[in-house]
Amino acid sequence: MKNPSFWLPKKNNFLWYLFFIFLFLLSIDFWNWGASKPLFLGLPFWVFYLLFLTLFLSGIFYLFAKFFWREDK
Amino acid sequence: MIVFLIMVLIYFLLLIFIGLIAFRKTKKTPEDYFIAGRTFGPIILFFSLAATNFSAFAFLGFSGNAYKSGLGQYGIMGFGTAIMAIMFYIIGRKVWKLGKEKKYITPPELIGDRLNSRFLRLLFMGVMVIFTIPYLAVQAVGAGILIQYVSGTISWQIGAIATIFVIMFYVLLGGMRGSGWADVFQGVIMITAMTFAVVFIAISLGGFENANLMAYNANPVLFTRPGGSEYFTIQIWFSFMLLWIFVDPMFPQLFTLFYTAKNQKSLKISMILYPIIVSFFFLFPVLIGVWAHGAGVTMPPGQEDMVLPLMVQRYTPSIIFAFIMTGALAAFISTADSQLLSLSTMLSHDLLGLKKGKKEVLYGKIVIIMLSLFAVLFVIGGYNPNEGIMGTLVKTTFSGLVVLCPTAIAALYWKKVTKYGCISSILIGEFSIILFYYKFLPDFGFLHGILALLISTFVLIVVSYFFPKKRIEVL
Repeated sequence: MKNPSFWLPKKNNFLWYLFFIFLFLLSIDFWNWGASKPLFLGLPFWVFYLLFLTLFLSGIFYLFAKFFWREDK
Repeated sequence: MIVFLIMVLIYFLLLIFIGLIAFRKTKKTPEDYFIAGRTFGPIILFFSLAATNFSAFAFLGFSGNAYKSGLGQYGIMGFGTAIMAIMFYIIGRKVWKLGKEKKYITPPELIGDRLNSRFLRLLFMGVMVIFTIPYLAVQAVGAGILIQYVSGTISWQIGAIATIFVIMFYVLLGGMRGSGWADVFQGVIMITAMTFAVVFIAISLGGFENANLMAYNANPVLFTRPGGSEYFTIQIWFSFMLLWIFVDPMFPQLFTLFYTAKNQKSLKISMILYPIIVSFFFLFPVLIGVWAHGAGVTMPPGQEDMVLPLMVQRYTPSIIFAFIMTGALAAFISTADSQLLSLSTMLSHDLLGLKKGKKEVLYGKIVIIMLSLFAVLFVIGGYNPNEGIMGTLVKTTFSGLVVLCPTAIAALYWKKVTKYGCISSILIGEFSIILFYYKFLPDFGFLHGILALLISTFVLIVVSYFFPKKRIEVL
């Protein structure tokens, strides 16, 4: 395909595409549905899972900004 | 409550003072008044993006929904909003660059110019304006309800109208610079206030773990999904996670902020910090809403959005209660000021099509006054408190604005996109929302906005291929 559509991943951003989609899919944690235990500090595990997933995202954004996002002047 | 009224008065005076200082620093040009001369560094941009996005919805709506449906409210708001920050790269970076090169100051201006269509520009603007005005009024209503609740004597309508006039006054004075500076001040107040709220309530309930366990014992359903009323289905969860990514950048007040960045470093730092602030700030009101069950609080149907003020009043000293309620006001006002400014920028710049210069700023200020009066009318006659903030917003703003996103992304990236594709995408997308709303089309349990987003994307691609026209230049 000579002119791949703009939304398709390219060589230089393929891994980032995969990574962000993977992170998004991790947020749809259907395997935790119906579960409230184990409780940690009185909260179910899945709340901490989402909290740390969100914080992890910040780290990924840092790497994305540092290694992929080239600034235009 | 006299302490609260004094705090609110001081807070309002400080906002006007910030507006006055910004007024002295602002040149009488549209670029300087409406987008602060593209000078916002990382701190101001980050706080503006955060304070603008964290609204009455975050303070009252989150806790109200958590009271009804449980901890799942944190999930549908937290991660979805955090990952939305990738749009600071996908949309923000290009908007910033094009804005700098072509001197754009509004979202419709960029879209209309890219596709060389005045009609598309007006359509894009019309959708943004129509769906943002109720959102603006909701902020004022939230402020009014709080003022009524805390004061006990001032009606919510009077409180809302007073809030609208204060916002109008300092936005008139300081423009975007005033709004940005005020957002830093208000962002700090609201984050501190929310932290105080959760800490004081937790201590009063015997500690963090005990507060959670009391709520769990009272209503364990709230600790699972699908939660209370089985609200958090997989379809709803997926819909919200996706919705925020595509709808948040289409809020005109957020889209416009992309123009204000001094450089791309400001956007980068905002993107990195956004998930950190979201991860905690969105959790706190949800916890308070859920803890209310353990504390034996019963909210009548339709009044759930008042659970946070009630909990704060019950479990914190009066001076802390007053401060936290002032922080809640800051959440409302920091959103409303940016909305008012972005709407007036679009109406004066895109609709009136004035030649650039001082006159445009003057007309912009007249529009600010007219919009404020319009919001007052909405407050007096149009708001149905029984629907709750969440219901009102989801049914109006979010679904209506998300349909604009395919056009915005295509205008920035896709060479083959045509104005016919964009116009059809927006019109058919909005029409589909009506069809979903009145159940002419099945929604399969998904949010209507997400299905409309799919339809508008499909229409944009198909029509652009069927009606090829001049290709646009892509950066």
